[in-house]
Amino acid sequence: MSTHLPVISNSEMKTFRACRRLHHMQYDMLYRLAVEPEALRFGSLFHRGLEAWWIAKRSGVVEPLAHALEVVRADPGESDAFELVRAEELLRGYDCRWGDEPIEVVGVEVEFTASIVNPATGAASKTYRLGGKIDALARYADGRLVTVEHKTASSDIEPGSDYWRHLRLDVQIGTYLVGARALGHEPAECLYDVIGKPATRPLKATPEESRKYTEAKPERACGACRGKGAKAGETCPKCEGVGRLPGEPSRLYAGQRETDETVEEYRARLREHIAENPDRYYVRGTIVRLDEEEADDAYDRWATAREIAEARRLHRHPKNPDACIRYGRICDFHDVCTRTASLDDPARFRRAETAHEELTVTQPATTEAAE
Amino acid sequence: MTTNATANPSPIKLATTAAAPQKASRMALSNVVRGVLNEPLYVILYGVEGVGKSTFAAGAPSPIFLSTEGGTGHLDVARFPEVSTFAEALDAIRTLINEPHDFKTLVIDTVDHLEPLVHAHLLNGTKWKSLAEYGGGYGRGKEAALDAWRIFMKAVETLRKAKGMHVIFLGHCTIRTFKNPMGGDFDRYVPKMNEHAAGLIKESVGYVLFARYESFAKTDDDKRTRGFSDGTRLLHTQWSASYDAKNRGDLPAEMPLSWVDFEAATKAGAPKAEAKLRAEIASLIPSLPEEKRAAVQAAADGTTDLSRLAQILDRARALSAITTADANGAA
Repeated sequence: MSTHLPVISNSEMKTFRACRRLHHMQYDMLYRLAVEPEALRFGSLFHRGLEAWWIAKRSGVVEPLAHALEVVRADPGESDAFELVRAEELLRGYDCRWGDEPIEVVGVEVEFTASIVNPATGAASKTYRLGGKIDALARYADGRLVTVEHKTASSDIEPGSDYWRHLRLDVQIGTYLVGARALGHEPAECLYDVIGKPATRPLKATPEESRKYTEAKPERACGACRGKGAKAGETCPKCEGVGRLPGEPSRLYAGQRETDETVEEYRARLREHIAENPDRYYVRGTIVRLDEEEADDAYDRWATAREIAEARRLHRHPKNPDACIRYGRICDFHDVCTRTASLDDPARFRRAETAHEELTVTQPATTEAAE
Repeated sequence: MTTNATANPSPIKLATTAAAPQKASRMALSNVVRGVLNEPLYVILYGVEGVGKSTFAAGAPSPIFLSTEGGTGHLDVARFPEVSTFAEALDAIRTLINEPHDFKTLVIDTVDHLEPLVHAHLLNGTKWKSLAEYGGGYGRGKEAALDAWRIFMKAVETLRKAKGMHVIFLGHCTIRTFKNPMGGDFDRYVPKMNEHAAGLIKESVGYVLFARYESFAKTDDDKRTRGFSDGTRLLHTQWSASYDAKNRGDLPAEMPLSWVDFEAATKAGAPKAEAKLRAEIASLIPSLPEEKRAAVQAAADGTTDLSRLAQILDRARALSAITTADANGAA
């Protein structure tokens, strides 16, 4: 494989399949958002902690959780204290759930490059090579090696849900199996490690104008024993023989608050929720690729790479308005396409140095980026 | 809009020009092979109870049975201990992948008895009591079961690649109604397991075979229709309205239920040579009951269809065996 060839990654191909204009802006012109959107910020923070946890496991650190927490606390980025607590508690739960699994960590954030092969001829592409970073490589007790893919998800991740059904066609899994083979491994399958993002948010004080209070109750005679303190010859259980019930002050309605939840109150509530619902937060599944599916994936990779080359050669980058809303949010470059924002606005966009900032492989600049 | 390619040549190069030969291209003449490839056979055989599915598989070269149900005790074959969990089934296949051995065929007997083990594997250690409840219901149990089947199929594929072994899935059949959009609904034989799991196996294998006893219907003098069979066992290899079947070779639609015939047909892409079939029928005729001999000979003479000849041979074998057994009994 020629190492001078430009790399295309799974993310790049995914972007290209979704919208060629977006691909052009991100991978030819190298524009990125200047500030990471809030929706992606938590995922990045948690992923850093998870990476640290796996590195600690690989190094034989006795308490990988402590190492992971240290990493997220040291660099929380733009995250606020509550987001940090969310990441910390999710990491704590992860450690409880999977810490004792008997798997040996072979590598973490394993980078690869591989040939993009024409399945019809077996010839390698002379235009591009495939690049990527596998979250982890691990070995089971029986000796089988697997690729590990971590994902955070907001959707339902319970076994058998559409989330898992969709993975039978996920291109990234097949791509990373190819990547692991290029590194000389023979992965048997992919261990898909999904972490549900907590929907629990810090509770806010009820606005004063919306607050409702119960009526204050004065001290009164016990209704159960009619103020006698005894009923059928026995001490009244309601007033405990006193014959009167104490008064009750006016209280805020249940579900309403006078103050915002503190970070520690939020932590305690979130921790309890995670402990009570581990299946909602941590699910692992084995994903395999059958032989015919691998051949089909190879064909798709080859075809997509050809189309990317063709688009670049012809300078044709049509928009796909059907992909403006993905993952429940509008595209980060939507304002550019609708001419209400400029790529030259440094407050919104920045120029990346390479098309694949997450990879360290040599990345020759594309023609337009060089211009 | 159409454009004149000569006057206004398109900048799009529609086809790549002949490229310089690749140094390590697989498409070199030195890599060309001739003839039929002897790939390991990948088969699912399903059929009615007791038709001889296990006996068929026992005829495959050096088989080892992975049994999920009893019923093969009468066969002189190698077998793993009866599997009681899905994990044991996977372990057995991984043992065959990783350890040296001389087995040439893996027989999974039967897939429909493996299915409850798949379900038990999913439910094990969870709060759910049944597949219907699994993952919160709404068919999620079936989807999760399909993912477990995919893991099993991957293990089997790895075995085929690693050891070049034939793999035969055996299964029972059931009758399901086909909702016919073109006319009246009708019943058909299908593998007795979840539709998606069966679909996965059928899509993966090269041969989907359906086995049954040949049966006939006859209306008697009381105008009552009775079914009867002479014990002939048939293997169907092509789809029909009555059953699922397929083959990636060029097999006859029907053939005797015998591994030898099946394997020979896959190698030849056709049943045995006509002359060979006729010679074998001719050799059996003297051992048939006298009143049947002329009919069998006439049936053989009256056809050139190889699959029909194979059927006649199979019936002749059955009749010959019955006659011989009767003769021995009388003696």
